[in-house]
Amino acid sequence: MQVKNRENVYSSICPGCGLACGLYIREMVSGTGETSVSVDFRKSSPVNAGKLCRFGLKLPVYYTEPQAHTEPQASMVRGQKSELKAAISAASEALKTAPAESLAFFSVGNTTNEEQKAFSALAGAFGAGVETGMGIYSSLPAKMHSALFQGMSLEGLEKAKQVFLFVDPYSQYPLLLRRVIRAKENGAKVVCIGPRHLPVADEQFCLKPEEYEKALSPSRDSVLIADIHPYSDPAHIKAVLDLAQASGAKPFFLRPFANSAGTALLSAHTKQRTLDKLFEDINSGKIKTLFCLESDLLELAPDREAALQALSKLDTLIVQTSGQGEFSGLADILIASEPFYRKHGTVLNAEGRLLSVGGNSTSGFDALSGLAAAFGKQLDFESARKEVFEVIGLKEADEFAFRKPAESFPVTAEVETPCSKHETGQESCSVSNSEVSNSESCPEKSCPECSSASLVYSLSPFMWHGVEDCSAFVELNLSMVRKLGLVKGGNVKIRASGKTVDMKFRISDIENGYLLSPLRLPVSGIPGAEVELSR
Amino acid sequence: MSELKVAADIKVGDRLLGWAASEEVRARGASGGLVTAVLASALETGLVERVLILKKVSEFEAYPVFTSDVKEVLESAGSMHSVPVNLARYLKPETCSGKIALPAKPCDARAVVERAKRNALSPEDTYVIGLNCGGTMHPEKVRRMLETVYRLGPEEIAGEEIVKGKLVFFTKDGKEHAVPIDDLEADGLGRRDSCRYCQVKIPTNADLACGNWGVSGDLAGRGTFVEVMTEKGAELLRNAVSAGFAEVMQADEKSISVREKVNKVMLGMSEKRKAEVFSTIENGEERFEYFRKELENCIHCGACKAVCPVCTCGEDSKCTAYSSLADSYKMSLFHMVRFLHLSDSCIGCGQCEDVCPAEIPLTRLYQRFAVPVQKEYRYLPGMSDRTPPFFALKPEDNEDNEGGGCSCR
Amino acid sequence: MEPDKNEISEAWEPRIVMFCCNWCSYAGADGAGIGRFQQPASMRIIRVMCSSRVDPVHVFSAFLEGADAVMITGCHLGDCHYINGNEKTLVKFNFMRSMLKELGLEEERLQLNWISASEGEKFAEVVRKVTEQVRQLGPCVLKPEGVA
Ligand SMILES: Cc1cc2nc3c(=O)[nH]c(=O)nc-3n(C[C@H](O)[C@H](O)[C@H](O)COP(=O)(O)OP(=O)(O)OC[C@H]3O[C@@H](n4cnc5c(N)ncnc54)[C@H](O)[C@@H]3O)c2cc1C
Ligand code: SF4
Ligand code: SF4
Ligand code: SF4
Ligand code: SF4
Ligand code: FES
Repeated sequence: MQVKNRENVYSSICPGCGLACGLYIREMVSGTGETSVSVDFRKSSPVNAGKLCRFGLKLPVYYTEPQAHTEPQASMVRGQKSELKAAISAASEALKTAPAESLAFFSVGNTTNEEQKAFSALAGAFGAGVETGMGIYSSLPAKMHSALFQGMSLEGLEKAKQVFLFVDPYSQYPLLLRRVIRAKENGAKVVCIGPRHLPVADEQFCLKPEEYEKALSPSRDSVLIADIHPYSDPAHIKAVLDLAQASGAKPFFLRPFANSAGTALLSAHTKQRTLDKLFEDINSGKIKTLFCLESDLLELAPDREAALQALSKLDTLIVQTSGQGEFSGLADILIASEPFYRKHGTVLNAEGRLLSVGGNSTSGFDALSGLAAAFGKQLDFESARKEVFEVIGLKEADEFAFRKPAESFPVTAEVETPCSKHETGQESCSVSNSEVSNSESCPEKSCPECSSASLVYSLSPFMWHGVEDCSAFVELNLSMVRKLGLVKGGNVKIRASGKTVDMKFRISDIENGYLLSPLRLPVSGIPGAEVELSR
Repeated sequence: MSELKVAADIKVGDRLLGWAASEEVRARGASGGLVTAVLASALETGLVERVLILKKVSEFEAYPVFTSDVKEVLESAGSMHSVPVNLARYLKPETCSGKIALPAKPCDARAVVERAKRNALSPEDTYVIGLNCGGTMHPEKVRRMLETVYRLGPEEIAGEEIVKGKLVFFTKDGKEHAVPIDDLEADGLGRRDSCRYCQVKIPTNADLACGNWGVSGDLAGRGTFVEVMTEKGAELLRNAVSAGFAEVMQADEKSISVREKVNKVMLGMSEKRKAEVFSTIENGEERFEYFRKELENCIHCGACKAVCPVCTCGEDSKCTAYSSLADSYKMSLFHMVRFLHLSDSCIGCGQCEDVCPAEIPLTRLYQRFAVPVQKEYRYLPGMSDRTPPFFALKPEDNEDNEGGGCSCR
Repeated sequence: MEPDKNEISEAWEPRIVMFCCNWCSYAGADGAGIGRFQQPASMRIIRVMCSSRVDPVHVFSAFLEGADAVMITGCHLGDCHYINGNEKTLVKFNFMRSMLKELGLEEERLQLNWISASEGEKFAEVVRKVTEQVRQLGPCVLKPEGVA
């Protein structure tokens, strides 16, 4: 409940990534209902000791821009502002009239377990499951799934003898960094795998998944830290798991969304589509009505333009969200919900802690459970919560307790053969420092200052939250900058598949032949491509 | 025992022993509940409109919030050594309308003074009730101490106190568990690093300076030593006594001398620690390498700036506006600007270090620049209303001044 | 001195960023040119209206972009065309110098000189002297990799 003209302090968590750092949200509601929020440090939080990354500190922007996220009345039905109730009944109507097999329900895990549960109930009423974009599960053998859900306390990580980092903690999971530094202080060796040379690394390798086993030799006291997200390369995930299995090292998988872990558990019985497949099915007309829960498909799509086109082919796009950006503007029916920090409910973080979000509103949950009830699935908050706790295996939300992962993971999804095709992706890079040379495919044959590089997206969870940061630049190393004759303050031209883009650049300590980008570039969708560079 | 003092007799310079008149507040308070009684009476009688209190969440967590509710003020009694927050940061033009009062450790009170110089608050409207301070602890470290040294679970803890150089935890079963702080600190536990070399233990820059040093005998744990530092302080105390919230009496010579002595010992320990921590690195290249190495993990989150209580620039400031993530400089321009800007004004409160996600010993880095500069200008920030030396219009303005309230640097 | 440092100082020319105020020291620079006083080509002059316009951010940026030294110049004390701008410059200069010294830079890398419009010869002399000092010191630690 909000009190006006006095600061409401929520003991909350950050929705930025799967670590779910503890923080305070200070909310000021003026007499006229305008809301402003600020973040404050919750130093007793065991996940992060109150420390936050850039994203966490930018949460006020996330919560209040581009439009007030805090306007519960901003629901829309086909372009018209409407009451929340009207939007819900419009959604109900749309679901009722659409053929069940043309419906899809999508949520990546930006919201509470309880909402997720209600969403599943709603999907279940149509014989469907909730899509999470994690088609990758289906490409991994079922016996590997339990390892993906092991979790591990960050504190425990500090005691590892060796830490193998398949992620870049500086830009991807910043609150992991201090734990790795502590492990190092405690004597651990830190081995980093990726194109960027990290200050914390004792050893650095740039490897393809098939090279892990040969080049890396973890022991039983080692921890292998990787992340799993909608664009993970199955070959990479499999190679990490194989390495863990062979060496007895502990794998620890981080995840991009606050509740990625809980969401995955709650939809474990659903065969997941990849994002590519999802868009393919929209394009082919297989999916005609799509319901997205707190998940911005435009930010998530491999290719924004293509996504816009695909979405326009839907009969009905239903969006339930607190965020009102371009994506929610596309919705035929927009069910406005409360911002994350005001939600009553829990999330499961990557470590396996069940955390309380800290608010006391259930309006998002009520919208979903109301819809589910309209289709014969009754679910009140308390029973949803009970079911959640059962699935997760904990009795209550407690910052200090950890979920004990089951030995085997309850997958019923059929398993496809693991993908072995190597694609340019975040964790894969060639080990030979291929001399950057005048490429054959250079369009201007005579141009001496042209070269090719692998565009690698330094995919971080923050890419998908649509918060602007001053990171509109690509990274290359000094020798490439020299070779291309780039000048300070100037741009680099990047060409691929007939498209060109001019970008600011940063000189970074990365492998030769790589172009890192924290932003999706218009020349190539995710996972990346070979590109031509010039001045 | 000497006579209770009547309100009208309280004046600047008085050194008194006091406590809350209400037995309940007295019992709940850290040592007699005087501070709580003064805050509550200021609110009750309308001397101030709001009080900044620490709202308790657990033994290890509390957050600052403004309140006009006397009941909430009464509930906030007690010293929280595991809540290393700086209260001054919450005083800003948007939040500070009308008269307010707050409790303040020396670092809080010093930051209040520096913020007033930067027009973030009006000093006339801000009533600062100073608390002596021997140090605070980061809750993460407290948990580690409980686990590895005391072998207690956080849920068993009923309270904690620092008594005679020992950190004592009281458990719910009524037992006491004491370990000398020196032993803890030898293992990198105990107080926050910055508290170990903190330069001010008695907040003589506040309106009242309250603490338990010098309180002994029957009054131990049931009374507080208070020194009236300013006319505003006298007003606060008179108000509390005449409204029937607090009782005070003259402190005897023994109390006064014990307090001075303990203060001296504590400051001596800080000095010693400071000399250890800031031993000179003679070679310039080594100094550069030291800073480069310490900062190499910085992820430019900006938390150190956001939390700094003497910085009042807000979103757009010189340190942020001219540096960019796209820079690939040998040293961060952000930090270089801050090293300079804070060299005369860093109070060593340790907030930046507390919140740094890259575990950089930031307060040490900032103090590396501050220690020589503050010594050169004989300026102890936050201890007087002297203009920060960097803002002087001409070099002579910095020469005339003796020390900014203190000559210990 | 180590042998390789000697080698550097033979081939290597220091780059010095010099801030000149419009009214005195910039005119002094002109005077040095007109008078054909000998001076090395080490200076990169940036004209500012008053020496007090020079902010620490300018000085730090110069170093971070590769300057081996920074020199701030202005009118003699008492002659500032904005009454007392150069006195404020002096306050800031002292601060910057302590800070850069603590950071590990040699004191000589940040210099302050008052040069009037008529002191063309002094200007040239200061340039010669400072260039020589910095040449002895070698390249600055803040110089980015790949910058000469
Ligand atoms: C961290 C800390 C360390 C201290 N160390 C010493 C010491 O070494 N020697 C000494 O003589 N006295 C010390 N004191 C002061 C002493 O503990 C009592 O606060 C003082 O004697 C007043 O007692 P009281 O019963 O009147 O206070 P109370 O009536 O209990 O009021 C205490 C006030 O302090 C506030 N407070 C509690 N924790 C904090 C905190 N972390 N930061 C800011 N405000 C806080 C509360 O909100 C409350 O308003 C310390 C106080 C604190 C908070
Ligand atoms: S690390 Fe993740 S959870 Fe923590 S503050 Fe950053 S985005 Fe939020
Ligand atoms: S910095 Fe000083 S005043 Fe502040 S908490 Fe530490 S010891 Fe107390
Ligand atoms: S808090 Fe730490 S990581 Fe963040 S900007 Fe400051 S020094 Fe860098
Ligand atoms: S720089 Fe750090 S220690 Fe210094 S005043 Fe700011 S927050 Fe406190
Ligand atoms: S105008 Fe020359 S120093 Fe001010």
